[in-house]
Amino acid sequence: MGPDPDIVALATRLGLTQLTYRSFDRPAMPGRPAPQDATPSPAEVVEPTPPMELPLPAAVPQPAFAQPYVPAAVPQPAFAQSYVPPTRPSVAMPPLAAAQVAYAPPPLVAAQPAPAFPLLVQALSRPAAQQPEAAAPSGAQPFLNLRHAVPGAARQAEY
Amino acid sequence: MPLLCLSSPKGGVGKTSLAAGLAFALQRAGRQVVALDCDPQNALRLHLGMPIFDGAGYIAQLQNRPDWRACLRTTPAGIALLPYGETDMRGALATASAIEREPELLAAPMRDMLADPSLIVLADTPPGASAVLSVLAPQASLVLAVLLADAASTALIPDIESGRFLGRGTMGSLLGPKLLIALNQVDRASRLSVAAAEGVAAHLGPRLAGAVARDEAVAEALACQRPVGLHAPGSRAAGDISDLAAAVLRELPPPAPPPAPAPQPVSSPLFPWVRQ
Repeated sequence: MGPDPDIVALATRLGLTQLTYRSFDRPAMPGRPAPQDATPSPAEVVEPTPPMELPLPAAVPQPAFAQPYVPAAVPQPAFAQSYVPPTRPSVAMPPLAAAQVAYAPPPLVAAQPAPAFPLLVQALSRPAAQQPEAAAPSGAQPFLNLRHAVPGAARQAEY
Repeated sequence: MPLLCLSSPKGGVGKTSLAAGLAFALQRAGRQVVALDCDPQNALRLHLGMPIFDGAGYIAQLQNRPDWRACLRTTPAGIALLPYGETDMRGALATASAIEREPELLAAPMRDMLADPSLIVLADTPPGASAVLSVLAPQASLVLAVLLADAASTALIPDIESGRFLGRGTMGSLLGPKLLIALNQVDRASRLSVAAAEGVAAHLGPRLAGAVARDEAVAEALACQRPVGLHAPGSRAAGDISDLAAAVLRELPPPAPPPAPAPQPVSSPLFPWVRQ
C-alpha cells in the first residue's frame, strides 16, 4: 500500500520534507476482517520506506500592499467641525489642613428625621384593598423592584 | 374677570404644582383667585389642602349641571377651589364626551364666573389636547403652556408654534397671541437643563413668561398639602413662581376698579323736598 496521496498533498502544503508514510497509510476499512496471524512471514516483511525528499512548497503569493492601511477620512458636517467639546474648569485643590481633622461626613438629607408629611399619612392610612385574583394572571408574582431602595424588601418580593 | 388656563402639550411637567403655586402667588399679589381643576387626576385639591378622601367636585358632576357656587370650597390657603371631583376612567371619558358634545355645559358657567370683575379664574387643564381646553381657551385671557427644560419638551416647541397644540387657522390666530410658555424644573446643575432653558429663552423671547427652578421644596409642599409659597416662602421655586405670577399679571387685564359709591340723595337746605 503506497502513501496516501492526500497525506502527501497535506505534507507538501505544510512544508514537511521528510515523512515516513507507513504510519499514514490508509487504514483498513471497518468491515475488512483483520488478519488472523499478526506475525508476518519473513517473505512478507517489507523494508520500511526510506525517508523521501519532498519538494519544497511553492511560495504562496501574498497580496502586496503598497502602503499600510490608512482609514479613509469621513467627511464631517460643518457643525461638527466647529464643535468644541466643553472643558471643565480646572478646580484647584484646596489647601490641606496642617493638622489632621477627623472627617465627619455631612448627614444625608434622607438620614435627617423627616417631618410628618400629612398627605403621605393620609394616603397610607387605609389598609390596602384586596385586589381580585382575576386581575393578575394565575401564578404571576407581583413585580416589586424594591431591592435596591428598601432594605429587606427582597424577601418581601419573593414571598 | 380674566381666565388663566394652565396647559401643556405633554404630561408630567409639574403643571398642577405650578397651578397651585401660581394661585397662591396671585392671591398674595392682592387678587381673588378661583382655582378650577379640569384634570380628572383631581390633584389640585391636594396641593391646596383638601383631604385626600374628600371626593366632592365640580367638573365630574358637570353633566348634572351643578351650580358652581355650591361646589366652591375654601381651602386652608384661602383660595377658592372647584375640585374636579372623584371619578373613574369611564366617568372621566363620559364627562369629556359630554363637554365635546355640548360645549355649553362648561362654557355657560365659565361665562358666569367671568362676569365677576374682581376674580381671576385659574383653570388647570388636562395635558395635551382636550375638550376642556378647546372650550376654555377661546374665553381665556392667557394660556400658559408649561414645559420642562429638557429635550422632550424643547422638541414640542415646533408643535406649539405650528398650531398643532392649540389649533390652526382661525383658532390659531385667535389663541396665538394669548399663549405664553413657562419652563418648570430648571436645574442649574444640569448642563442639558441649562442649555435647553437658554435655548428656549433665546428662541421664544417675550413669549417665555418665566422659569421655575427645580426645587425639593415643591415636592415637600405637596406632601404637606400647601402651596410652595406658603410652605417654603424663601425657597428658590417660590421666588420664581412669584416672578412668574408678576409676569402673568402684566398680561392680564387690570382688576376692575371698585364701584364708585352711589351718590347719596341730599336734600337741599333751601328746598328740602327737592332731591339733588
